[in-house]
Amino acid sequence: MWDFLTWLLWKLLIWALPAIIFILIAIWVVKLTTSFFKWLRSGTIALFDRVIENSRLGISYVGDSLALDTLSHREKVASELDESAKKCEESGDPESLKNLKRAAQCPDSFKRSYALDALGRLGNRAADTVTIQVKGLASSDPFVREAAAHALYRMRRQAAPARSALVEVLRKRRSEGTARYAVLALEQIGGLTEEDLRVLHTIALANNSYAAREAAELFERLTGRSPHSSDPAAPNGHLPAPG
Amino acid sequence: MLTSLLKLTVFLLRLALLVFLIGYLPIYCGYVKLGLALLAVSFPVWKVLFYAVRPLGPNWRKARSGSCYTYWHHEFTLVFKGGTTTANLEEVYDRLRKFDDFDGKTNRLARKRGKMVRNARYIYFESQGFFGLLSALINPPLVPVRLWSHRGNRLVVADTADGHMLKGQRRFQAKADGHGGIVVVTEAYDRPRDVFNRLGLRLMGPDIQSEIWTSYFNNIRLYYASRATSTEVAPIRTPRVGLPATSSSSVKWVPLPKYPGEEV
Repeated sequence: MWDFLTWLLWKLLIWALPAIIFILIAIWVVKLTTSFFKWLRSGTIALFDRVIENSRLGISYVGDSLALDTLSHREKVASELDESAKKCEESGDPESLKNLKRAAQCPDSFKRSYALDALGRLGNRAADTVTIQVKGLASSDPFVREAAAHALYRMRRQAAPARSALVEVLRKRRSEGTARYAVLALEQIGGLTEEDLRVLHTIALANNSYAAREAAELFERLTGRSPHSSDPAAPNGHLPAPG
Repeated sequence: MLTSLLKLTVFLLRLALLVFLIGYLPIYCGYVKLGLALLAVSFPVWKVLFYAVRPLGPNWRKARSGSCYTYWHHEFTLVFKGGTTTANLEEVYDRLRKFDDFDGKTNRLARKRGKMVRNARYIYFESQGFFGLLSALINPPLVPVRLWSHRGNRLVVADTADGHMLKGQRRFQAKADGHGGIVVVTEAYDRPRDVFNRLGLRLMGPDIQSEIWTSYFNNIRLYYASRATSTEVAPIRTPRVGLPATSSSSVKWVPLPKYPGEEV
């Protein structure tokens, strides 16, 4: 009897050990497989999203490049973008914001400027679109440039990261409406450097400047004196720090 | 010299295209594609060329006897919730002067951009917005108007400039109505520049033109929506009228020969 019990115990021990090891290995394999599939799924989803997004971008790019700039096309584009802007404003729909951002970088001039304008009206909800607006400022299309500058003006202090791009616009495009919106946007952003004030001073005194009046008013407000003043230190000397 | 050469090039290009399209379209169907392809290919070239050929001034000087104009009138009234003040009136006038509300919102057809040309202020509109894509055959893609304003009358005056499909003047004015409201009004006397534009205007112009100014005014109403109540924009169009007798010596219904400055 005792022998039988000892035999049974040994047998159990002998089989239990590999069984436990097997179970542990099995658990580890299942865990590994699960995490592998989880990783695979998340990777695929991210990739899938990227593939979908890029396909959409590609399709809209081709579509925008081929689209004829007709009245019906414009109405269609505007109503789609209005719809997106409305959704974005009411519920902060991220897909609509993505749609507007995509449109604000597309090659269709009307669509792009309309989207930039719509983003400019969204306020806080489109705070992260300043880089898109800055790209618009650098566009070769004057309508897009003006729409981007106007949008930055509407974005108020959120447009602060665009300060240097706006000053650059003033340097290059003083005869355009873009320059006027750039001055107005700079006024709201504030924190202008001496170099920025020098550019404003030049714009205020320049011939053929669309923004002369606004630049002169802003310069006067910041420095406390007219850009036309005959103060010898004014034009080329040391300008006082902004007030 | 360069400007004249560019103008001549553009003119010849357009003439060749017109002859090609008009002469060959009905006979050889295969040329339709070629003609349209040429149009599509040369369109950006025209755009660049016309952008380079800047307007030199209004495209008309005085009213010709016997010329018939179309009279346009759009207006609406703003009543500010806190009462209408001179500051409100000045603000509305300033927005009119700067065309800040033209783009976007309810205006789904046309766009504008500002440009100084030889110290005169111009606003360029896209002709697609007014007469459609075919307008590009006879008009530049961007049509300019010369702008100046009169602060005393709170009046903004826009004279059609070189390249515009119309000849005439449009005015925008903000005035107190005497009952606590501000009337915002735009009036225009204009006529097509030539026979082609007359045809284009007859076919598809008036409605679109009226729609653009209505939507511009609707944009202004939307801007003030939180601060004021407003009436609907009422458009009136009266064809075939003469230019009005010039009642005001300072602001006549003809372009001023010398640009008076951005604001007088």
